[in-house]
Amino acid sequence: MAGGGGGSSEYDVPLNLVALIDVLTNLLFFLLIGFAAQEVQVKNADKIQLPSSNTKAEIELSVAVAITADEILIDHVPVARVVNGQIDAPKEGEKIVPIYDRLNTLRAARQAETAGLSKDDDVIFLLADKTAPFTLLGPVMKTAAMAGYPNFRFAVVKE
Amino acid sequence: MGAFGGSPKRAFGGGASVFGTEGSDDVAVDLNLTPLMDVMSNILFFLLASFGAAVISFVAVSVPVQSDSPGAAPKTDSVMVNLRVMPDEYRISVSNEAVEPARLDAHRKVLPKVNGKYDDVKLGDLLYRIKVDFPASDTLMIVPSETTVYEEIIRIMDAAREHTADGKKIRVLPKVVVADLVKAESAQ
Repeated sequence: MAGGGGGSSEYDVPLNLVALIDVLTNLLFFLLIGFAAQEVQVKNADKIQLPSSNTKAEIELSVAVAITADEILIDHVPVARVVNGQIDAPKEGEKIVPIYDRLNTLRAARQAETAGLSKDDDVIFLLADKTAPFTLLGPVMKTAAMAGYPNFRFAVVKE
Repeated sequence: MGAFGGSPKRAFGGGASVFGTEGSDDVAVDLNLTPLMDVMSNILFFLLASFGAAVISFVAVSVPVQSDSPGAAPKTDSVMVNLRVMPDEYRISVSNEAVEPARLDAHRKVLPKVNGKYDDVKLGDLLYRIKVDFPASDTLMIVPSETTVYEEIIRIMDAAREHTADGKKIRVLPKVVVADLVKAESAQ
């Protein structure tokens, strides 16, 4: 009897754990892959407190531009410093030269890989602190548009 | 006990072992899966916890671009909704050359801050009314001021994206364009 019999204190209940391990392994791989995809995008998010939003959009890969209190990073590479809430970098008119150059380089590299313009080649994934003023965001967005990235995905935390 | 746990058989050497016995095809191997389950459960709970803690998402935005190609003929059931974010208020207006100005002026509104905060609920209501009047409208142009912060832009987009009426969620203005008039404004 599975529940044991009277007079015996030892029970031998063989549990088949293989099915459970199958399920756990599947869940584990699914979560690990999802975790890795997010990690790629939000590597600099520890310096940034993102705003929350009721959006339901799923994250998609594109060029990541992070605006922190100290610097601006493109794909995790610092390209300009931020001093007193202003971008401290050489400019040509409204164009911020190091940001423009870096985005142009990335765009050329991506187009070479995909042999032409693909879906996300003109999109920037923008990570900024929720308190970042538009005087900081505006010039970065304008420079990105000049470099051929007129579309943005503003990073938020799901509510 | 055998090398892999389970029934008491001789692990190696002659006679009965986990690798079988001479002349026998049946090998009974009991794997002790409990430590594996422990490790997997720990990793699983860690991943589940961190997955739910901060799920990053995005809201799509674009900036205006100059185009040489002729635009489509303006429709009378669609308008461009403009929202200027001033330090103390929202200023809403709509534009379309093909619509008579009186209909457009009916949607020209100013929403002052309430208790020091922008009234995003009322903004959502106003944008929904514009959508009802001009159902083909789908684009909101936000013109932030110098003091507008990133979070406020996100809140405006949340208010503009959808509206709940009669228990139904209705898409209002899902496309957002952020225009830059900071210089013109500060020069005034």
